[in-house]
Amino acid sequence: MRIFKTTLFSTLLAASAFAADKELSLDANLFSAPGSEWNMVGGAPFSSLGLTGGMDIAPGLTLVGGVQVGSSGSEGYFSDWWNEEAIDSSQKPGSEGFIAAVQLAQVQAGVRTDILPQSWVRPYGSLKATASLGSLYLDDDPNDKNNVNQISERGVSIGGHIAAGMAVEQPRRQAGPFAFRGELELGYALATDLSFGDIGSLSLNGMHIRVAGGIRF
Amino acid sequence: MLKKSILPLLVLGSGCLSWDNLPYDYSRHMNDALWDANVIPTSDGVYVHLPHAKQVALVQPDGEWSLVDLLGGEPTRIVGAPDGESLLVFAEVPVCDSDEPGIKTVEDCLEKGDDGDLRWETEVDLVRDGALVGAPSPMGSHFNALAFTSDGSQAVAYLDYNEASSLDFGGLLNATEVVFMDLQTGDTTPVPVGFAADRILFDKDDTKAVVFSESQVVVVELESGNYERLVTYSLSLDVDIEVRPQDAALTPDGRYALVTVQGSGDLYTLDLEAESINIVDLDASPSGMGVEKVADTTALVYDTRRQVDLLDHEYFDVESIDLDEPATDITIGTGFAMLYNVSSTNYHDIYRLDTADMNLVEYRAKNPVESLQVSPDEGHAIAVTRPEPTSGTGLEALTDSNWGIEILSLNSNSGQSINLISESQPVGVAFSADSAYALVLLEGVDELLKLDLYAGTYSQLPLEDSPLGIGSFGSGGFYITHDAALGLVSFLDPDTGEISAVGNFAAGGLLGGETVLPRTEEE
Repeated sequence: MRIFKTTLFSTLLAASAFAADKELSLDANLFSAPGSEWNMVGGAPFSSLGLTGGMDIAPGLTLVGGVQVGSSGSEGYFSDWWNEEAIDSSQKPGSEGFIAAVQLAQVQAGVRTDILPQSWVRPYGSLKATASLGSLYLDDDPNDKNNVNQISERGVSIGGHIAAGMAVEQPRRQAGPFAFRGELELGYALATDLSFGDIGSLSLNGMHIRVAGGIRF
Repeated sequence: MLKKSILPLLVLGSGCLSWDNLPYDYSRHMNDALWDANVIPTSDGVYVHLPHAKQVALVQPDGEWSLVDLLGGEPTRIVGAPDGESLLVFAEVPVCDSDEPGIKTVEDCLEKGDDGDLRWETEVDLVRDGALVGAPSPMGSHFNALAFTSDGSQAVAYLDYNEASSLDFGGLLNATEVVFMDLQTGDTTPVPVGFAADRILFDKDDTKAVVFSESQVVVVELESGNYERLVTYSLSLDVDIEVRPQDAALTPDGRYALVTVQGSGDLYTLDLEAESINIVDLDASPSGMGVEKVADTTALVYDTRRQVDLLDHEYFDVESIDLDEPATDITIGTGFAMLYNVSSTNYHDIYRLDTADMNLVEYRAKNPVESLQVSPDEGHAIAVTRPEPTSGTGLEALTDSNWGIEILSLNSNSGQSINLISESQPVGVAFSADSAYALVLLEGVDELLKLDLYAGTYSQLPLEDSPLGIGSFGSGGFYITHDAALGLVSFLDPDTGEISAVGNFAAGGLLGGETVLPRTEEE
């Protein structure tokens, strides 16, 4: 307990004496869930763009948070022209197809630790909590604005995300007021499913790849 | 706090898509349609098979729909029972025989188990009021059809090979038995009846079932619950000669079973009381047969002969009546039979044969007949006709090149009919309960035509989408299925003319993930 208190006070003292850099970056994310249900909405893999901000709270330790937004969709259609049962195709509606699309907005917040904070190349690890809102859209007649079968459902998910990556950043003392920083990271997300009622659900468990570029100031 | 801070941000971020710009970068082909428009009407609503999601949905006129919980069973076919309340579902259930820990899904079983650990059990589920009733009844995977007693209390499962596009019977297939089901208890009893049994008839009291198979007819009693075979009739004394029943019917008193045979002019009359067989020699193998109750006679037509035969049920004498053109099909009314030809030939004649006095009335359709239906009061019939090679000019050519609807008056002996030309193929015809009008659907036309059977005039009711079919629902109502991928069924109240459309139901289970092994814990 004493060791813990000593460490904590040391960190806080160091943090209070530390000039807290801030950062802002644009992100591109690729998420790949193992489940086949993402195929229906054209999201295998699912890409999103985002904005991430951060603030150093201790040497090598940064509080990070951001928003990611992405969408995907596919046109599903049914055809059995090769099948003998095609003679009864009039009883199998859907040959004209339908659109299934999803939009995902995710808020992330967590911490990142840079292992070699003074070097150009900095391995890092991050741990974030996530909250996601998914919107599912289904439409089997896009030309009809009053189509009965325009379906939209929303689902909410919470979870976490752990990642390891490599950053390239100009050491702060050489860079002047701004330093450019680029990141490439690989992570894994664990989250509750995005449930859309009777329609089904989308799993948000899976691998992430993130590429980011921004500035620290 | 969370709602105030994060949720508005998420909603803001996710609100960018609109119905005009939904992204669809990929085309995804599906092996199965989202729903099958061969829906089953019951008093609650219509049941719909969702092949892609492997679900069954109950769609109700009030706009509600729900998925039926089949305890993990994946439906392969749905059948309505005669009581108008019950649905029978042929279903498959995945079972994994592996002892490996952590197997919860079919995918787990395939990954962690050995070859052959995954198997599919097949069953029949009884559904009422949108819910499973009792325990599922195990059933051989090859059975795909059901025949019901008139009261709907019992059913016989059999293999209709004409309906079997592919058979996956997992090893050995016993094609010599059918399965009797007590629909109250769900108990099933297999009964050996002969090879390839595909036609089952019941006597008028539902005390006996007559099962027709290759070269053999078996009578099974239904009263004791033991389903004992009472008598077996052999249709051939030489095992080298296979006799394949083509059509079968019982006489109105239930005493005789009549069997026509493929490729032969032999008509077998099986005396179910005296347990004897007689063979009536016909001029050819009949293409159609119908039993008329008033005159107690059977009408037989031939696709190769210009005649109709009437077979009396006392002495089984045959009386032939000449026709101008051959007929292939028979629709039986009360005291008459409608004879018509639906082969790919260009015959146009439709006949009404009054069975008591053998009065023959000829109707001349403008084009070859595609189908024929008789109204509930039997005052009219509607024949849908198809285009034929154009001959002549003017209106004659226009008629030839289009579909047609012919309203036949069955109350006159003059062959009176009203001919309507249709640019689109009629895809559904239904009659009002009072037989005053018919409801007609045309392919690709978003309107329901209400056709006055006496005047031949019609009015139009707008539909939500292009129709696929129409059927009766509830007491005097109708349902209409539409060509919409995500599911669309309309319900028509004929009293008010109000049409309410219910959609979305085919989206049920659309985002199905891995297939969970549903009954692992129970076992």
